[in-house]
Amino acid sequence: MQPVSLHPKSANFSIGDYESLWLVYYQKRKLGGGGGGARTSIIDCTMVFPYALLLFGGELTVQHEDSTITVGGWIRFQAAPQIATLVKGIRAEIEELFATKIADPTVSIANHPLVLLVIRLLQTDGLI
Amino acid sequence: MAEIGFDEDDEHTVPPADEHQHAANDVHFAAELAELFRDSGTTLSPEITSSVPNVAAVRRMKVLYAAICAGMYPNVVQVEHPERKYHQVLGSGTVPLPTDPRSLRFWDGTNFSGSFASRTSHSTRSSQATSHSLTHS
Repeated sequence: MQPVSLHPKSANFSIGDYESLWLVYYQKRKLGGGGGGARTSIIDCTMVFPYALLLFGGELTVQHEDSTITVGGWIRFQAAPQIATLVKGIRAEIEELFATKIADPTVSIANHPLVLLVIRLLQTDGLI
Repeated sequence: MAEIGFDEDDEHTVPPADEHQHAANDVHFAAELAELFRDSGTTLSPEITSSVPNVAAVRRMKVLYAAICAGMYPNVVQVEHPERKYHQVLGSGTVPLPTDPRSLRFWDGTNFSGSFASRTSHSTRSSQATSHSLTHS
């Protein structure tokens, strides 16, 4: 992992306490000119919560020895392995539902129990 | 908004416009999303930044954050606080001091190759910082 900083113009630049430890960003730039002084800055970022990363992030791996789940190889969460099983199950169901929706766009999925469940998970971050 | 599962106590319910009533569902869905994004720029933000945040508004924003997360992934940065918050909270019930934004460190794992060798240099620190419990809000 490489150190980065937030761009001084970012709305989050003055934030000291983040409710969640994860930010997503759109643009990353090297600022500060040549030499060794160049710093990598995140131009725009949004704080995201664990279940968003678990559901919409990269590959999930489980480390049984210390009860952690890893997203995309480096985003680690302390959680029981059952959480990974649950999230993998939901991901598979989402893919199936989206395949149905793509095959026939007139199918309404807005009130599908799975969609309601995912929204609830995201809203409560698992503390349903 | 009830269409996409938001709280029933949502006072910003959008009456379906005539042109949407016989339109395809995906168009309807897109219109609802557009309304949600409009809300997030106007109605929602002041509620969230006010001292008494509207619970329903915060919940709706979390769905929006998740959509942003899905779009931006894998551009993820980890926030490292200088000292874990609960050190202050668990002490004697004292109010935790606000963290100085300049004391935060941000780590970009985007270039992480999958080899654990590249992060051994600060593995001790990151193992503490990354262990963010799912059962702890």
